[in-house]
Amino acid sequence: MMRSIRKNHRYILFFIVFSFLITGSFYFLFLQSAVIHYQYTKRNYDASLIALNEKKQLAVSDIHAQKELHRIEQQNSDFYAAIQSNQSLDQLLQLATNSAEKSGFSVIQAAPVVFKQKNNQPADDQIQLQLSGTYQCLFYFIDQLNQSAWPYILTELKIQHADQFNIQLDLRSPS
Amino acid sequence: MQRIYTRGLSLTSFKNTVLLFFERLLKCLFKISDNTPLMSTLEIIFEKERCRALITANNQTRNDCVTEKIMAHLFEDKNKLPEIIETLKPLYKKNMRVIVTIPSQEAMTHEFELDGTLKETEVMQFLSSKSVLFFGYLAETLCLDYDTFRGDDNNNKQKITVIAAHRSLIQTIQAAFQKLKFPLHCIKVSNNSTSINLLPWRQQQAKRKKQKQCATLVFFAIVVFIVMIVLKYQFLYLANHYTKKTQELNSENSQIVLNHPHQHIALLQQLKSMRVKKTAAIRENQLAENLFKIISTTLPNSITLSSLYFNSHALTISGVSDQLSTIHTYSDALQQNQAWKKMSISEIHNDLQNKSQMDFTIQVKP
Repeated sequence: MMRSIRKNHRYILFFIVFSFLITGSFYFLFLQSAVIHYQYTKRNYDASLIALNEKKQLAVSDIHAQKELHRIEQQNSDFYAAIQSNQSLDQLLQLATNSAEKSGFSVIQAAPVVFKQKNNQPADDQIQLQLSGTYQCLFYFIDQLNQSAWPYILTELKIQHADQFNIQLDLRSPS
Repeated sequence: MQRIYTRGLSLTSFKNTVLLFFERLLKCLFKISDNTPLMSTLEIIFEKERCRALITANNQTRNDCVTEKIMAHLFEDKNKLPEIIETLKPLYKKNMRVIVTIPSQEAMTHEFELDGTLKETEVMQFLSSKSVLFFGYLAETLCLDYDTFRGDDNNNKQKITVIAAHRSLIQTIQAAFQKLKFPLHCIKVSNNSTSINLLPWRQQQAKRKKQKQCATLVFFAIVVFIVMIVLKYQFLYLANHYTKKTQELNSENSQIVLNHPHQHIALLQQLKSMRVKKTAAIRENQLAENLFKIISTTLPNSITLSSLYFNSHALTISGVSDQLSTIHTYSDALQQNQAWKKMSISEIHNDLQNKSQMDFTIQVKP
């Protein structure tokens, strides 16, 4: 057997090279275009399947979301309406000054605080108020803030004169 | 019932045909011999003045001489050779091996030793190149054949016996046989025990081998071609299948209509996140409110607060009192609350203008 292989090793080598060449050339002549076409259609099919599944999932989650929104709307209609209205910082400032006035404060000055964070990220929503009133008004004001739909946090309070309150409100999520 | 029977019969016969075909194919490919007796031999022995024909039936154990025919014939008279062969032709039967033996005077013999590793073609090349030296004639004018005998194993040499005859003689014999369509398998030399055959069988063998190899390559190429064609149609079929499926999926996709689905989900997420933020904000505000309430409720009448500073890191209260003990009482009262544990009086000093009064500063770190 080994002798026969040794004797025919040239032919075996030639046969291997020939088989590679013939297979390669036949592949490029006949099969390549069909394989490319097949791969293209398979990719399209996969993409369509993924898109359909995503859309189905989206439809299901949309139904869930709508149900949940309806429930929230019925339970907390004010909160729902406030959040859906998507108010700007100026409107939030106006809401805060209204609350201060309702609490018995007189508004001396009110302004949104603008400062830049690191890495050029958008600044947190902050409001600075200079109010005039009594210490009791402060508690009413905190209650008013807690009752509103928006998450106002009293982050800074400075009382340097008997009836002058410098208050800073933050609208970011607490850390 | 009749129909089923006929169908079963035809299937069996088809199966048998297929099996027979494969059996024959295997026999052809691997040269499997069955138990049929070996073919008999017709040996035509030319001597100087006569010609003998022997038919030998070959058995595995011994050769039995069945027929012998003797004719007077001068071997040198080549013109009469076709007549003699025609006379002997009736002795030939199908599948018989025909051997012609020529007189030893017509052949030349030479013996020598050669490297044992040489291949058949190399030995033949060597003999062709040395034919003038060995026999005095060019290789083109001779028909050569050799037989090897393994010599001493240590020196790796092989003993070679070469026999040559004039090509014209061999061609004359071949032509006479061909003319009568009488097969000729071997031309031997009388009084020689070797298996030398002066016909160009080595060339024919090499040619057959090359043809076989070429046939294998062509067969392989055809098989690859067929496989490629089958694969191509398989891929085209699959591509067509996937195209149809894609169209179905796309039409199904277009039937699902959603009205701003992302808006609902985004609003829901905003609501949820805002609720979390609001809860946390209320907690923070209540903490601050609690602190402010404690400051006012525990404040003694003899202390007046002058300033208050609060942020998420610290709370600082500054005030004025006329008694040091009152400041400490206030400090103790504040510290009793859980939120004021990290409280400290950072500063107490007399007022520069009014020496009876004392300024103090209390710091709390949450």
